[in-house]
Amino acid sequence: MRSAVSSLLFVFLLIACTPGMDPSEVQHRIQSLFELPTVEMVFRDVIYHKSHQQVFGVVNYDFRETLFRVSIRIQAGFDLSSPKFAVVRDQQRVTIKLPPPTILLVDADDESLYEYFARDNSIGWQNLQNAKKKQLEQAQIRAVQLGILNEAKRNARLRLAELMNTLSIQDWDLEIAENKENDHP
Amino acid sequence: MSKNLRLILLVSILVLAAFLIGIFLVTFQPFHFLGIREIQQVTLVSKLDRVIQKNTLNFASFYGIYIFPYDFFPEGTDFRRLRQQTSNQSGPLSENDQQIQELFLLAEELDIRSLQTSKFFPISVIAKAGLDLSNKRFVVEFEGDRPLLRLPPIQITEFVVLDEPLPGWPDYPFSVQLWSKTIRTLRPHIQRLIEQENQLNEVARESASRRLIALLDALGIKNARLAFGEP
Repeated sequence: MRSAVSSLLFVFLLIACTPGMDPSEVQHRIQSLFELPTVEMVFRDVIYHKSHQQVFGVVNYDFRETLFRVSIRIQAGFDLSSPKFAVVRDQQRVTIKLPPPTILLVDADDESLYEYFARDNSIGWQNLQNAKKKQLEQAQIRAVQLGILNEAKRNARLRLAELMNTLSIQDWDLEIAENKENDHP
Repeated sequence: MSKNLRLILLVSILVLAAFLIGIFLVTFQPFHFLGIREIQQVTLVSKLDRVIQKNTLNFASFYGIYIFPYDFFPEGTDFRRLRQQTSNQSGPLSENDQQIQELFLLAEELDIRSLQTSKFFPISVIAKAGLDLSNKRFVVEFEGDRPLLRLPPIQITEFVVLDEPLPGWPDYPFSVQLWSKTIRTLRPHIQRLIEQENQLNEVARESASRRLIALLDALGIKNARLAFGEP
């Protein structure tokens, strides 16, 4: 009896508090959910640098060789400030239109810099920073090759499915705009 | 007043009353004796089960390059001492010493005689970390009025050694057999290193917390706390 009464009360509460299906509300919920990046990727990158100078193309001098590692964090997701983001309601069907996924953050953690060795002459701080900068660009290319943008799309679909379940919206569709070839390296 | 109008008024008053009672019940929760807390727990778990249907949730990916021998031995490891220990070894070794010895024997086979050597090579791996929900799913408890969602530990859910050369690195003279053996030997050590370094798990935990809190928020559960289990 006790649990029957409490179940009835709870169901009553749930019904009273169930949110509606207003597209602007759906849009607001998607916006708060997609403020977060949909993919997080960590790179433990190792940079090998070897160089020397030459005089008249014959005599080699100033040998430098170093090996160091750096941690890079890459986030991908959707920029919902884009005009391509929209929630369209056609009768009972809700269509969510998202812009193409994009890299939101590429950041190297300087504290993670670790030098395995430096032979002969050190490559110097400036060269190290330049090498790190180049590595950030390469990490971004590698992340795209490893499918970070496709994973962002898959995760977006998954998150939307979860959100639509919470809103009890069964009839929905997702359209993600395609990346142009020159959007990313 | 017409009969219809009276009916509409009555229904409106009833809906308003239901709404106010609902707010009162949610805010003050006066019927603990009716077992509402237990029902909330069951309802929340069933909602999460309905919403999160996958058994494995990945929250972060990892791409890493590991350098043999540098990443696998503690800094300053003396290979001559290791060689003596290996030849004089009589009793059983600790797990850590066993691992070091296995790596040392591989280094010997690869003709790497010390940590101060120009002989080294990179191995790249990809991994993912997240929650494995296949055995243990969600447990909901309450700390006072605050929901506490207990989850399994964040762990490595996928791990692949990429069998590909890295451009721009010095070539290392491997035979096919030696390369296979090297990969086979180093694979568990790399997985252990990823776990010890904890960077992937930390990012995955942060990402999982943000995403699950947002999801709970969408389910109308505010102020929840997450507790990930011990690995």
